[in-house]
Amino acid sequence: MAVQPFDGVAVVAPTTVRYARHSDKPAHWWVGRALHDVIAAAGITKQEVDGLALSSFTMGPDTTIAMTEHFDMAPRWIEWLPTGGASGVMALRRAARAVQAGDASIVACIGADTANPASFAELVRNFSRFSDTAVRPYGAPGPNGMFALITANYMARFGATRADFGAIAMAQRANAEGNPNALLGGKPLSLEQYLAAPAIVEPLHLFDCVMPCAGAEAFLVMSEERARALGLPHAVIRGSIERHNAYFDEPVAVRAGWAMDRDSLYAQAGVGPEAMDCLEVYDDYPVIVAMQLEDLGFCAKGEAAKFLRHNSLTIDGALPVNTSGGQLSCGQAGAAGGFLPVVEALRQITGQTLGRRVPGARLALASGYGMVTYDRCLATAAAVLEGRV
Amino acid sequence: MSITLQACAQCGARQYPPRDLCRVCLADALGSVEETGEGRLIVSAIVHRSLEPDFAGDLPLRIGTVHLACGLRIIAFVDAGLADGAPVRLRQEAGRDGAALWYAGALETGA
Ligand SMILES: [Zn+2]
Repeated sequence: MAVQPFDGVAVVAPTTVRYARHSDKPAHWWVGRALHDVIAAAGITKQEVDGLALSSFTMGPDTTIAMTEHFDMAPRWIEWLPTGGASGVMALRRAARAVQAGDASIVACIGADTANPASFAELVRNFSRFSDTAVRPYGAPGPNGMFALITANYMARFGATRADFGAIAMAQRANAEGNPNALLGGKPLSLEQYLAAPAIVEPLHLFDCVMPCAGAEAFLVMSEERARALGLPHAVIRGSIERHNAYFDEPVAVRAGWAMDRDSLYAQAGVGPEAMDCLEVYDDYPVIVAMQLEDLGFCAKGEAAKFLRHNSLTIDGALPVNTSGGQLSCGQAGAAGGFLPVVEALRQITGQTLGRRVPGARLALASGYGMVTYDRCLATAAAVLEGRV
Repeated sequence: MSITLQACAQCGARQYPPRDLCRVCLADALGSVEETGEGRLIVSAIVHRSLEPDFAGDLPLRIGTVHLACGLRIIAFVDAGLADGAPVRLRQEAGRDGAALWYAGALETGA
């Protein structure tokens, strides 16, 4: 059976709770603040929200259900997405289906996390059984260790250089200029600085790694009819895919689930990658941006470095990528980092950007990648969104 | 020298990291097998920053992905002098806290 279209569904009210390097507030505050801001942005009341989809790493032991009590809500549909970097697109997909089926009429989708100096190490320590038993004893390198291996393997296999990854980090830093939410946005990044940065897990150096922080990202999913009645600029979902644990037999990941499903994505959308005005991808490390350029069909496998030498990823470049600066410039606000691609895509195609906008942007691709439980992330998802202003 | 891996008595599949049922046929029939430990060091990386203060005194550490002949991949410490891509032999040794850890060493050639 073919994937049913996402007809009749609107995505509205891109919302960002300003990131902070550290926060003494619990994740619950960040969730609640995002809920407050997202309903204010849409001009609706809390009572009108009858669906709630949440993702957070630091809300433990609570999940979505507990938040209904924290905030006096009685939704008829809830979802919990413990899938980090893929949780934003996954929330979007689930909320859209709930609205289509009539199981909810307005779904608030929120990714939120707090951060304190101990929380990241604590999170990594308890992340998964496999990482605890089969990675942590090897120097506790965290995700940096696994993505250093993926990066080194990619470089050796396809001839990419550190400077190629530097081009990604520099373009995103340039895109962050003017975005008040980018914690590193005021600091331009030169190739010299990128190359001279201290090693974290070689070949990864400081500017290959995201800076953990606190923050939240959110949006609402409702019917197009409702969005129009509310007078809200909105996006429709032209197509969407999801895949988990793809290519699990490959000894080191050189591709991920998008490669398995991108034909379906573009068939649903009725357009190809060349039609995208901007691309908002998950950027825990530059190599993963390169992998998405390939697996989502912007260039052939192994050719991202060549592509980057001829196509700038800046807002005024050939293919604007991570137009907010991405996590590499904004910081990684835990699960909110998995919502950032959807929220920034929505901002660009509805003209509600925090910083600069790709002129006339109408079609955007948002992509997610999450959960390194052993030596790669398992969850992938993507959506093509079209602005209707 | 050999290594011990978790294996399924029903279908023969090897698995790592250890699981509670067979990853392939889901049988509740796990045991262990001896393997040679021969494989290839696909790639390595050098850990300069650890998330755990306990490792600070050991840094830098070299880790790598070893692809065993039986198809499994294992994250291991890598002995000095081994090039990425080299054939290796995995061995288990007691790590700092006494638990058995994987080390990739040169695959001795000849007799
Ligand atoms: Zn079996």
